[in-house]
Amino acid sequence: MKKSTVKHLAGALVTILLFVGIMSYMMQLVSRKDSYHKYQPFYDSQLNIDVLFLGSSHVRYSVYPVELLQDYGITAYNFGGHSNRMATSYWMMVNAFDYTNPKLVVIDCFMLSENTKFREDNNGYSYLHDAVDHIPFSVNKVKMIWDLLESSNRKWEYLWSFSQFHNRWNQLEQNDFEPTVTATEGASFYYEVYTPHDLDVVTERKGIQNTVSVDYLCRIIEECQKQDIEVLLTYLPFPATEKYWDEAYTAGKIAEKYGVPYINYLEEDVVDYATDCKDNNHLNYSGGQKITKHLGTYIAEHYHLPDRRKEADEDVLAAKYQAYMDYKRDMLQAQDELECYLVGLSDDRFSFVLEVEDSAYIKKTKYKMLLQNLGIDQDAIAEEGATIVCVSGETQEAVYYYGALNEKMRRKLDISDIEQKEKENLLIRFTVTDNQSGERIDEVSFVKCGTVEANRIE
Amino acid sequence: MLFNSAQFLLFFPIVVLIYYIVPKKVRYIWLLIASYYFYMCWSVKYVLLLLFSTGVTYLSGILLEKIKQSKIKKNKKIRLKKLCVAGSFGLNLGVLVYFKYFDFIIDNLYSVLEAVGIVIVQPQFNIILPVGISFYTFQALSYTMDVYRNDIYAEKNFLKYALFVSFFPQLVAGPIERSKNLLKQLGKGNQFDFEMAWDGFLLMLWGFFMKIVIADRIAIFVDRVYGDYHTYGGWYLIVATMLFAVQIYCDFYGYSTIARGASKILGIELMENFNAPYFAQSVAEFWRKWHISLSSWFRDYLYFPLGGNRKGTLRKYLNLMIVFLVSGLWHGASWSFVVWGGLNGIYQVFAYVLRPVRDKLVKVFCLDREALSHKLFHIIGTFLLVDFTWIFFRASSLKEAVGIVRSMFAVHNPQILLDDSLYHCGLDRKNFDVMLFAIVVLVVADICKTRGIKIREIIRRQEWWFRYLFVALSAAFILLLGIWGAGYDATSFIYFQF
Repeated sequence: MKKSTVKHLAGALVTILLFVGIMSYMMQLVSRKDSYHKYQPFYDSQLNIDVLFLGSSHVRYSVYPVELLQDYGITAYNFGGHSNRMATSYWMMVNAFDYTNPKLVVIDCFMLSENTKFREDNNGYSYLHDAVDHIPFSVNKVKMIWDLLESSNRKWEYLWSFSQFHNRWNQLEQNDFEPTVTATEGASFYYEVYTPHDLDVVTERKGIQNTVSVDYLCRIIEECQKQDIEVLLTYLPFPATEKYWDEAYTAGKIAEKYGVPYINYLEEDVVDYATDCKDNNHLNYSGGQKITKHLGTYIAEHYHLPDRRKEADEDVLAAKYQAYMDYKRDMLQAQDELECYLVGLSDDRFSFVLEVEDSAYIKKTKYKMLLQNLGIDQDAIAEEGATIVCVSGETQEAVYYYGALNEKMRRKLDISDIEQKEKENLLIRFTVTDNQSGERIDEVSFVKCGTVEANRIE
Repeated sequence: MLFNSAQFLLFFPIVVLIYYIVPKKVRYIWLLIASYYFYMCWSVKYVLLLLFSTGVTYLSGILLEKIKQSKIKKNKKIRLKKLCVAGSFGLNLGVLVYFKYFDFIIDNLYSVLEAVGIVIVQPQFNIILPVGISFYTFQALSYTMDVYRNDIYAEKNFLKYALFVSFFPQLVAGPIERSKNLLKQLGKGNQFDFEMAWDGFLLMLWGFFMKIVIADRIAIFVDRVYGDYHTYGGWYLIVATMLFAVQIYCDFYGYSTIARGASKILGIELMENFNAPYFAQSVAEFWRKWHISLSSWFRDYLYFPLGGNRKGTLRKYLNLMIVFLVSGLWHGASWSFVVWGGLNGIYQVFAYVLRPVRDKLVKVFCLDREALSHKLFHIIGTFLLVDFTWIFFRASSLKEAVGIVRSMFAVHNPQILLDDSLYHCGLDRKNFDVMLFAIVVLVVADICKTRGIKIREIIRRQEWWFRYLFVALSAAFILLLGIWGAGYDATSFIYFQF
């Protein structure tokens, strides 16, 4: 080969390498970080992930893997995603198997009656990006895209997301240059409260017709059984209408057919819809805490999973828990509405002191229920005047004091004095502490605004 | 397939690779296959039209050659040759008229009948215009004329001739090549020339920059404003019209440049189709620098046969008007295109008529025609005149064009140039800034062109690390800043409708 030809070929190669290098950086920079944020810790995990939670946003907002690890030694990851149909969950599982060897796959069966592989509207395509973009390029990813987007001409934007996101160049933020990852192992929290009215009372149980989602649920179970992976089906609770009771019934029949265990939470008494719902479809943080505890206890009792706390590096674990607590603290501090704040306190990792200035007001309003949810006895709150309640996160026991606290008591309870500006219209004041570290998480006062709502003041 | 599509980015490297692998003698056959595949991606059935045009003009060339070499009398020869040319033109233009102008003719016929009180239910034909028909028809007809005029010998190899008509880089939107230039290059089967390929690649990059960074970005703004000109009156329309001048330039020039670049990589030189047209100092000069292949086609095959400027002044003006009216019609089957063409013709006629007046004014006021200020005045003046005609080109009908002109002058809102109003017409501030920056780059490039500075040559002379980094960065930024992909609707080249 001539020298000049070699030179030219080398030059072309250098140019291509430079181009690939620059493009790799650009692709990373402009991609939306939601998927990376939620799923990257899965790929970075130093421990084997023993439990995969699959499903829709019901799973995303109801199962908290870090707490499963901390309380039960179970390593888990939350693959629940907005509007994830069973087909999407199937392929997420298949791709996850390339990176971990789970012992158990827990699949929530909400939307079993959906007859599409994914939600085929603008939001659905966006949610699919959340579910897909984090997955490194592989044969399984190509199979996933080709199957899910079978009749769509939008396959390429999922195989090469730069084609979709390159126009984000004018929306770049710090998070794009220094992307952060979730501290919650894929879970998310809702703090809003919604109390459903007129819950459907469904007595007749009937199944649904065979759908694409039913097919893929069967494929999930069969794939797991082929690989000797245990399967647990769930139907997480929410104020379900008749259609969803039918779905839950069908899920039970499928579980029976394959001989796998099934927990139909619609029939269990784990959550309280009066306090644990974010809307008529999702649980809030309080509901999620209860579900997580229930699932954790169930899995610990029924499956012989290794206790990964013993083999994990202590410093790594400590950092993980601290990051998780920091996240929860930030989320709590961001709640400006009292009811959301009360939901945020439904966490046995927090101890708190409540100074209820207007007990009569509290007893007349919706906050009464939420306080009850925190283990505070309504009868123990004074009819009038101030009530001080100290709740220990670990034991969930409440101690009550009445009237204004003197300086000595404040020192004993380690709570600061109420400033003059806070006293006006003060409804309730919180001092929140981390159980484990004893660190002060938050101090906040809520005042009455109008007749119904209360707001945070700094 | 569009040049700015994943399909083409896959198609072209494969074509190039196989082109240089197959033996030289059959390379043109591979290009022919690739060209027909390229066209069939648009429409399989309209390939038959391409074949028809190719066949008719090929046969016309063979016939003309036979007549030339025959022993019949000169007068009869001339008559037969003219008959042959007429046949070729008649058949090809007949097809073009049918597909491009039939609906237009019927619509106008029915309008005339209605105007005189004859009401007939108008049938809807909705004839679909085959992509590129205007371009390849003119290219094929130019071959007939070139053989007729003895500028070239008739091509005997049908496959090579078919490639001349269908050569994919310039098939659907030009440049309209002359047989003298292109035919001889096609059968050669060139050796791979790295320098030529490198130059071709740079041309393609520049073409993509103009198309997807500039033209398609401006299109967002122009489409918004022109699409709702009742709301966006006054200076919105003025800005949009000025930007449209850049859009159509970059869209068309971009395509031609990609075509030239792709051809160069294959070792084939196509003609330059634009030569910094907005730096022209008169409308006549503008038309010597804009869509050069079409302008020269009309000059050689319509203006000169009509007599050009050899039959007196009035006849010259008439010939000019005919050429520009036909050119307008060539661009589209709509009265707005005819008006567009007509205006360009009128400008030039007036320029000729007023030349003595201008010369007098220069003398009386002691103006220096070589002064930069004088040239700048003419450049800006020419741009404004040409830009006004673009309104008729862009509007979807004559009525709309008139409405736009009215709306432009009915509203007085220069404040939009100073506040944030322009950032709410489809392009946010950052995109608008990128557009302006890209236009500055374009202007600098065109200034270099007018001064004979060859930017590609300058890049070629730099250190190897700079050259490779420049290309890698340029390609990456074009992909980053370009308007393409799932985030946008695919924006086709403007000239594909012709």
